[in-house]
Amino acid sequence: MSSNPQGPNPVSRRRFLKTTVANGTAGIAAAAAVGLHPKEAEAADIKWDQTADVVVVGAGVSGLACACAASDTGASVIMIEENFDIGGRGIMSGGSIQLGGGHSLQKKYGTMDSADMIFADWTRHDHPASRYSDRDVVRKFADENAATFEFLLAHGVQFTGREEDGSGASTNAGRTYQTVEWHIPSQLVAPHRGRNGSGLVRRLEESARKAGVKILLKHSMTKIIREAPLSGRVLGVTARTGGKDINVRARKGVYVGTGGNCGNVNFRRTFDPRLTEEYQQACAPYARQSGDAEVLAMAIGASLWATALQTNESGAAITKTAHIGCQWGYGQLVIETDSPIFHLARATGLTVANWQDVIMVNQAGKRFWNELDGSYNFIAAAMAYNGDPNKLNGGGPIWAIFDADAVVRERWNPTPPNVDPLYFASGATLKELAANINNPYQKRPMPGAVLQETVERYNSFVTSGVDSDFKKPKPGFKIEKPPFYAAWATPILHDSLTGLRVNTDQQVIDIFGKVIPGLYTGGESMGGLAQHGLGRDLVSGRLAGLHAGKSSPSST
Amino acid sequence: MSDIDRADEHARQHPTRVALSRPPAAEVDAGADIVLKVKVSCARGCDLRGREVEVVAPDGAVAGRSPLTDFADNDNETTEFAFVAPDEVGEYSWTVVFLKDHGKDLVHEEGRLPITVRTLAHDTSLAVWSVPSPIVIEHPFRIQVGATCSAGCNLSGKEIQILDEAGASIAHATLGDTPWEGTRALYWTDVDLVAPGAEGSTSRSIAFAPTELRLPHGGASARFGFETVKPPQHWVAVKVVQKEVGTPVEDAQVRLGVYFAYSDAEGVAKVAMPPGTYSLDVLKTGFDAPSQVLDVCDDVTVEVELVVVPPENPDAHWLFDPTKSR
Repeated sequence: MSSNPQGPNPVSRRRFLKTTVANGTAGIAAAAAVGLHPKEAEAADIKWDQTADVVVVGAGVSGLACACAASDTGASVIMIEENFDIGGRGIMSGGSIQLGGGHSLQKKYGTMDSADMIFADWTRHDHPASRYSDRDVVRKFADENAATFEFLLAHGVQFTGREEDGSGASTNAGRTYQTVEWHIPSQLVAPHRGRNGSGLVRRLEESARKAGVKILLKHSMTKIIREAPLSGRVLGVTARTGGKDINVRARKGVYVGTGGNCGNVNFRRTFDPRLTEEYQQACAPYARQSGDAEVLAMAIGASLWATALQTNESGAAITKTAHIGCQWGYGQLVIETDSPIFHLARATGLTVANWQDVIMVNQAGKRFWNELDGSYNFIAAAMAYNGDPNKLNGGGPIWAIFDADAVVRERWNPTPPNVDPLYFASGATLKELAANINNPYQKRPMPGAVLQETVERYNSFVTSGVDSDFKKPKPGFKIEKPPFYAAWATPILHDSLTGLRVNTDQQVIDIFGKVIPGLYTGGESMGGLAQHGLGRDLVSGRLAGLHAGKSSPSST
Repeated sequence: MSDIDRADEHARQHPTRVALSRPPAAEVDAGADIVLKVKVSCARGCDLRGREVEVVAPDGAVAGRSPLTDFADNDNETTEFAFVAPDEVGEYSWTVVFLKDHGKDLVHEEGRLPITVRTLAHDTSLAVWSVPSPIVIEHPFRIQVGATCSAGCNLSGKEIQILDEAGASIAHATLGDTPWEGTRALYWTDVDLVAPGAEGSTSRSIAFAPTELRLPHGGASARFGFETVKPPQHWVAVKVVQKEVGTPVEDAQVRLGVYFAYSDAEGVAKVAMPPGTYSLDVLKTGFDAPSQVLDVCDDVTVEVELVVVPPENPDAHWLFDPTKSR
């Protein structure tokens, strides 16, 4: 009797899969004959269209850092990017990178900093942005800050040399440096607005391509392929392009960095049920923040982590819009008419210099808060229930209401392409204005009589000098001179501050607390650290690339 | 049996169905256009382009018609077309008809679809602007009032009434001929009024009930208010300068209680006021200044220094400052 419980001359599972996957010839029956689980055999029955050591999904900041780092180890890399170009939100960012720890530029300026100081900042108990951090993740992040900065220099990223002030560090270390904007205008997505993040992502792209990284644009990940639904190794991904699916195999690892989840209405409501469909997200329509990494990783057992970071009302998870009358009016981001995506953005928006010049009303035509406030108290009031029995969650659209005098004071031109007709309306009277609001998220017509009453009441506050309803300090200007205007001013989402659970090598951890072999994540798809943007993206992407690149290839 | 009937007997007969690609609005202003888009489908998927549909009133009168111009997925469609709603308020029905169509050896049967639309009186609304405040008791002042119709009707020559807090008419004016600049049909007029004889907050309302218009119009109302004050006795001059450099700041809003003024090119705002104690505030985008209290018992000049508020650091949103977190 054979001493081997599998019988005489057993074919090893590994050897079977290695042979049959390489040949694309495995059949379920054959696999079952050697004792493989039927679902494991499915994974082995895959026809691979492309293969690399490391597959990086998402050619944004963290993905590009991962690809460059993996290439540095000698690994071959394929990048999958759903968009028509690289960069994600990074290409539209201001390029202010918060990395410290005593790197060469800090030394040049005589700035005292250390990994310990970074660790102290991002684990401090007296600030909501830091007290819920995963300290293991933060420790690694802190230790790798300086090396990541030098990594950027080695990959050709250029900095303006201008050190920004020391906000963000308990020890007041200057830790934020801005990249130089990319020099080729036709390769900018948001020209003319100091979006120096283009200088970061285009340099990393340049370096990656020189190292032989293959970038597949307009390829959208639809599945992470794992040997078994909740066990085994990640083997690769399926991506859709031109209506067809392709399978891309990763010998060493898959990195998923799809930019966070603010653009996925169903997913983001996991953390905050108020975030219904009317809330847009920064950097759309260029970068989706689809949540694909999170959703598809969770489908194979990945865990979320440190979710308190998303809803503790610190940082830039939800912000007051700065440019009204367009669909996406986040912060300093204005899509100019010569942007390659202007036909998608449709309007530049009207930038508000002084919130005294407008009042803000909900879709029922009522004011809800002091317009000068931009805190989370304002956001909460904007998202409060406004009386629509058919839509209890979410606050609905918010409209900035102003008059012809405000247009002069603000020096606005309230016509296209500065405003989007779907997100802007005008009227000779306030009642006519309300009737002219025609927006897909305005689920019920705004009652004209209510809007008129709201403005008449506000004008009485201006006359008396006291806002009895919401204590707006010194209400300055009546809204009385026709024509009247309503411009979209709904709060806009920005940062994903929670995501998948990772260890200090950026390997994804599953719901049972175990590493999912071959799966990595970082940037805004990871949980555990809530530092906004580029520094976190770069460190995590680089760490993932180094670990994946150095790991042993899958023997399956 | 007529020749046509004999022909019908022998020809193939295809039923048709009429539907709406774009239904008309359930309610429209009386006398306004009713816009719709119609599609007709043949049971056998025939291309019916070139044939017409009609909108027929109960009395058989044809209110509108349009040819079928598009054909896709077995549906024949018109472009959007309109017919005029009746001038009277009420609920009205029509039938959209695809007329029986005789072709060679082929007959497309008539198709019919009833539609109903309610006509409304035109909605009117008001705006009132250039209301000064404060106003010295019993002093005259002028405001501007405009009225518009939801369908853009010409309201020139119609009367508006100004009412006091008890609802009594205290003034009236006639709307002018030219719409207010930047509007389609806001007919407006100046209205001269007199402030009441008592100090305090005053509220007035405006009523508009147009008559003698061809089409029915609803009425409108609006409110406005102002502060009435004692006659001034002193001049207060506020010089607004930028702190640290001392340069004058033009176009800053200076507020002394309910009084407003704007600084000129020399940074000076002058306000005539009665004696009293007032809160002094200065507003200017990009600047800040603390409130102060000013006692006015004679002509007085006061200087206010504005501090520049640095432009917001776009990245400061998420960079936390330890001195602000506590």
